[in-house]
Amino acid sequence: MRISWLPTVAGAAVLGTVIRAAFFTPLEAKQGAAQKIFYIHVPSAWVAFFAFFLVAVASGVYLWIRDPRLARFAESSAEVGVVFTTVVLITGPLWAKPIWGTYWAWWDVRLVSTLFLWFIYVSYIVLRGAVESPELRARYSAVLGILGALLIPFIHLSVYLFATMHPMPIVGKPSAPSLPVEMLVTLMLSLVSFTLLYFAFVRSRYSYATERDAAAAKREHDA
Amino acid sequence: MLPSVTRLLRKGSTMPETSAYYHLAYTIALGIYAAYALSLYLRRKRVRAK
Repeated sequence: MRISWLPTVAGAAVLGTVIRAAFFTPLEAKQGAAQKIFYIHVPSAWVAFFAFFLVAVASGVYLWIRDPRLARFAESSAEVGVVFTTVVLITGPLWAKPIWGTYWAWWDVRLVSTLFLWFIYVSYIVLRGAVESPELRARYSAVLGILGALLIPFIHLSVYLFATMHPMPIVGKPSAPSLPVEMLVTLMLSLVSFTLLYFAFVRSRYSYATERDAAAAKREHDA
Repeated sequence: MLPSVTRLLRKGSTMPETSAYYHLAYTIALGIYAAYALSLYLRRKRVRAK
């Protein structure tokens, strides 16, 4: 049996990160163990934004040069982005309940705009399933993929623009990270390992899309 | 308990018991990623079988 190196390395990196977060990273004094949710919530959010940004880039270039490989990449990245956003939307409320006293606040712009982002890319997947013609499907979904990504800078800046309960950025800010070194190392490791996991998922999803399209073309040719 | 935590506690902090949420979040997140990896494997296997 052939073992692919990327999924193996990504899986090992994620496992290593979880072990480090659980056993070798100190507990935060005021939040207790719930603070460790940070090491899966933040990298999942980073990967989700990165995934949707790449959907927009691939979609934009697709609309320009009409290469079906770009449409397949955008489709793959969008699906993987939805998986990571789902994790963000579940782990966030699980942290919020013991810290804020509530799972969700509908008036909080960061929370609600992230939910909207999830809906947009779920719609993207539904749209791709609903359009029969491959060219039209790729074109319509490329437009939606670009428009959806416009929400990303808004979500990032929402904590500065609106009254929100969501914490301010601890690392992605102009000043130095406000985190002890042990926690910062775990966070950096988690960002790297979850990014590797993204690439492993996208490569596998892209291979599936290529094989699926080849099988569909063969069926059409035979018919 | 890790040394840095005892240092913080000595300053008078009280640490809340929130480990149930931590365990639940990690279990669900890793479960979702594992389920997605399995779905990719099964979809590729199915398309190859056709």
